[in-house]
Amino acid sequence: MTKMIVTNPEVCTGCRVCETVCSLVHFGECNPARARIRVMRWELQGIDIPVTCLQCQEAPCEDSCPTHAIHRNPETGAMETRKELCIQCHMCALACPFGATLVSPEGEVLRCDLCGGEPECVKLCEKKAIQYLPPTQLATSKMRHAAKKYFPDL
Amino acid sequence: MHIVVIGNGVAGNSAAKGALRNPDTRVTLIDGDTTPYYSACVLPDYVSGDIPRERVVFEIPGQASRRFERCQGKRVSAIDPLKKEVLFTEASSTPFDRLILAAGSVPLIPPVQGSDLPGNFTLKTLDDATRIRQWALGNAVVIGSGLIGIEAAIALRKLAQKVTLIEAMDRIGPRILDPVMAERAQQTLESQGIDVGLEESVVGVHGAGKTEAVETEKRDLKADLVVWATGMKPQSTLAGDAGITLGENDGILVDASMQTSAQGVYAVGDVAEYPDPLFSEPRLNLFWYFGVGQGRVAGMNAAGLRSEFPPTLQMGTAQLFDTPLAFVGYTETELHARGLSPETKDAGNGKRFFHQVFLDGRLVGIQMIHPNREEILWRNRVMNVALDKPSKPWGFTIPLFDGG
Repeated sequence: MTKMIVTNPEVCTGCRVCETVCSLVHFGECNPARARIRVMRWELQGIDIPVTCLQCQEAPCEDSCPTHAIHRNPETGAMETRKELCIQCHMCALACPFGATLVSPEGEVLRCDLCGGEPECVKLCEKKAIQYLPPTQLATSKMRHAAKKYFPDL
Repeated sequence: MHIVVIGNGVAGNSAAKGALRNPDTRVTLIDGDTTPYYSACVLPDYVSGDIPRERVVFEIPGQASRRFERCQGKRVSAIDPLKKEVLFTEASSTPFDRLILAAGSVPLIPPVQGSDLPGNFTLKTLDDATRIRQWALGNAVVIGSGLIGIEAAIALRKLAQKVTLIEAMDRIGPRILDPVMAERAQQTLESQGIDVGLEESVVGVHGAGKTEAVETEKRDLKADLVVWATGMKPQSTLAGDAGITLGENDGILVDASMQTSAQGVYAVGDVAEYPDPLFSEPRLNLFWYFGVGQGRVAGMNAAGLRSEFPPTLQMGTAQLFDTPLAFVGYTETELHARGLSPETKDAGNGKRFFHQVFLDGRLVGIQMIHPNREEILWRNRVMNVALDKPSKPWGFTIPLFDGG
């Protein structure tokens, strides 16, 4: 199994370094409008949740693409868009149940490509709110997280 | 296990791909035509010359398999769900264990005088698009203003001197847009030089040897080229003749596993009538992603792997020159026609505009025009939450915050 990006909103501080580095790596500029990961903020409650592509196994974006431009990279497991086939109809963005397929100001489709297997946002996340884990470890960390609820002081 | 798929469109190919997931199956895909597998959605872009033919035609990656056979140029004359046999017109037959019907739909041209003259076209197949490209263009008339009609008119605007879009109803896109939205879409089209005629029915097409004029109830229009976009009809006669239950719209009735009333026979894509998420009434869904999703589900079920097609809303996008248009879910007009009382909320100014449809406080439909596409996508996020039916469950749970 390929690894997947796991977010932990409880420790996210909303610093948005992930957004900045994402646009820097892919476009050479620090512009959150071109980032493939976004931090959703609830200002009054003080909550920040990083949202990015979950690389669904049966992906609605792949199903909705009328030119079969979206395919899974067998090595990283990331859903990638073949630019030469994309007609920018943005049906994938409309189909994504998480809103994690984004569109750049120029109309280019932005979806997390896992940086070819080494996500830069994960490396730079100070609080480890974004992690890149194999699914087996994901289950363990989720179980640990749930078990902790028995002892809130832990 | 031998699975036979009839139809070489997106639904058929997706079904074949789904069936091949089980390594013990053998799949034969039958197609009456000889054109390769292509995308019907990009045909308007091909007509306008924006994309070359190579980008219309494609192969699904990973379908080159020893267990998969594509059988083109053979027409099916009958199917026999009891004997499990497909009969061809050339008096041969092939047996099957499971059958998947994915024959698609054909354009419907109303029986109007002169609609068989050279110069009358539909825009459904690759051949149609090629013929439209080759035809000398001067004045073009597009009849019917659904998504295909609108896109055809926009494509022809780049080629023809004058384009007229004719609609029999009181607004363009009557099945996907509400009046307030249709008016804005119409303004966009008109600002780019497309003449829009509403509440006009075509009486006849005239000309000597080829089309020269279109006569409507109101006026005569010069027309060197006529494109009919007046609706589609599912190709369900094979199933009907075999005694399989058809729905009110001539589609084949299917359950959540895409199985028809006959055991071991499945129907997917344009030919299938599948319940919509809100009313659970069977309806035709002539969209690409229904073909892909239903095809995969039927293929997997036929191959013995269990799968279900989730309730799915209709949705679509169109690029009206520089204005992106998107729609999801139900229109206010449709809900009114069902005797319900939806509430609407319009928002926007200048170039941006949202038209939201609520039913019992739930957002069930949205149509939007917005230059900033980001905003469009954000609205869809809201929509998925409101309907409480995301097409995929969350991969993991996000911890709930109680504010403490």
